Amino acid sequence: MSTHDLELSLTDLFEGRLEGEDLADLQRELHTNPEARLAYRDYARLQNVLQLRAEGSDPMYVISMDQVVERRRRRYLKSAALASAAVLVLALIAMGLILIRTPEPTLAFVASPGSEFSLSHELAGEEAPTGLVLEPGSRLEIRSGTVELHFGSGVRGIVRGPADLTLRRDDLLDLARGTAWFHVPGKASGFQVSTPDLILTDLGTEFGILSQAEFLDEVHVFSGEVEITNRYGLKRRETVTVGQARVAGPAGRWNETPLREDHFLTGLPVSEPREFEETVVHDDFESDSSADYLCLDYYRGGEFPERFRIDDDDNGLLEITPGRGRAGQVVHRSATLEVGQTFRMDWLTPAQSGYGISQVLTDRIDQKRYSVRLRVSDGAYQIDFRGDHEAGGTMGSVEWHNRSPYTAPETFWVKRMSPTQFAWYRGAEPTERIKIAEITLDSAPGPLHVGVQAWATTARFDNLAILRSEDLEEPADDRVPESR
Amino acid sequence: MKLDARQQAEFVGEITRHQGTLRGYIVSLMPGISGAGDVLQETNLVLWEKRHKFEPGSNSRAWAFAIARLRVKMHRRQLMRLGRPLLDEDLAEELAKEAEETPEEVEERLSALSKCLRRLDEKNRRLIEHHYFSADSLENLSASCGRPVNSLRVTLCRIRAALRKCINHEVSVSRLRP
Repeated sequence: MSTHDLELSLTDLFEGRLEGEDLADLQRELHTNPEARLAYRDYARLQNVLQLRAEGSDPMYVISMDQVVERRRRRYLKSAALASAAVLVLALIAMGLILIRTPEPTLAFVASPGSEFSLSHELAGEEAPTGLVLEPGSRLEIRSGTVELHFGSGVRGIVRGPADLTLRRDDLLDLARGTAWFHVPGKASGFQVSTPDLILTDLGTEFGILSQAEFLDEVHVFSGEVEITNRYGLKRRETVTVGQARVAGPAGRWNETPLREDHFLTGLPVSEPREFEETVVHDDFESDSSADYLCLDYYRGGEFPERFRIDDDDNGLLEITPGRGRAGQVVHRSATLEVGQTFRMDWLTPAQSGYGISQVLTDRIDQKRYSVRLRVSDGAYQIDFRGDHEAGGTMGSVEWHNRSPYTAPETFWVKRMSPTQFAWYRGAEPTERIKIAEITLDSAPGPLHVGVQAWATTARFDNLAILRSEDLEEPADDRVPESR
Repeated sequence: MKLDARQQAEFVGEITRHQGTLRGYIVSLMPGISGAGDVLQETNLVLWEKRHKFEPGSNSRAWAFAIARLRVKMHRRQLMRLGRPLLDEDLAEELAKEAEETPEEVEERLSALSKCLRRLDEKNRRLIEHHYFSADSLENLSASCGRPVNSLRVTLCRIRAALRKCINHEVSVSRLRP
């Protein structure tokens, strides 16, 4: 049973909605799979605290982020005391480079233009810090943009949003998510960063950490060395030295990954980040739009209409069920990817051994062909050109940037930068995308229709979109004044 | 043995201390079945009736768990007679044993839940709060917000997965604190 299916079954079980064959399947899984029983216990604990909280007479009063943002739009600087938690919330929008230093704060920060963030403190009343500073217990949530951190100890950091960090001690920062770079002087050696997957202890160095909700966390060391401890499974501890990078393995080991200096900023950007200007096509599959798509039997040829469903049983998804040993390709009949546009798709199916899931760009929707295929097989990224399977040979080249393992759900983005150049990204939001690869075709194929493929497995997708951005430059790169 | 006033106070203190954990244990034994609170109260009543067997300094948690387990079994039998689909007996026993060996730290998790709920975007937080705090069925929720039941089901699954990860993280981090 895949992780997604297990989680869905456990949700249904605790909702009292699981019965029949589905209940039997889950029971088999729980009998045989210790990981599944671990997940079961976690769900039971979650259910307990949710119910306890629901039964409580005073559910904590919470100020929503959206309300905070709305206040910021009105350019008010407001504070609000949360009744039960005595938390002071300050919400600001940085209209320029701002740096407020109070006498020896534990941590002061500077934000890039256009950054949106909120700052909250555990300390209340007169003890509450003022200005852009963090004291132990303070939490900084960066919705967009970048901030520069200055610790009293001399540690300097650059954190790209979306990010969520809480200062625990003057030498311990909790990074719940975000992309962060740190320079730690020798006198501050022992500085620690904690993420959902790992605990890093600096041994006097310069390093980067990537932490995202659906990915295993990564550590990249640019000078000196760090010690990292995995939080899960075997909880392996490892020393990583200059020029090395590691990604947390699901069993608690550490796996090697290429050192990626270009992921990390070492200075603040000087211009505002750009968003997509326009949504050209969007299908959330909340209604049956199957007439807009063509499904082909990718190996045997011919149409394959019975093998895909949209919003079947109100599930709000696109689902392909090609059957054992077969492949189904579903392509939008009219949506094409033009220069300056990005094709986005949510993938909901985990990769399993022997299965493949792909995003395709094709110049002929009714033929067994694609111009380029962006594929995940056994959790690894692959890029295929039509020539790989036809007599003409390869029709393009690939430059890989990041091949950290795929874990579902994931959002993939394919940007067409020129008639022949494409970039493939992953990441939940435009501003937190990580480039997987750049692709250059040998010749311009003209209009390319967008679609998805599944091989030997039932694959589910959501939110097909084609988006347009105003300029054709790389959004991540041209926001970077100074990169590692 | 009759407990004196001090021993009775100690007994009540012990039982009170285990309430959250005991409730978690009961929830893990009866997934998807309402009435965990009732079973907890029944367990407390039995514990009180048998308080004369309580020995100060003994493993009161194990005792409370054993009684809760029997109460859940009785509850399960009633539901089985009504034809309610349940986890099979062997598996329930196995899960009970494992749950007993790894008790949860409820206070820690409640505190983490508060933090993690705040980290959800407003739409998702409203959805989960409405669903759990008003105990509204997915069908009613679907009717009130105009979203298909299955779509809500998938969304709730995603939110729960995110909360699960976030809470585990928060609990791990809190243990790092001096």
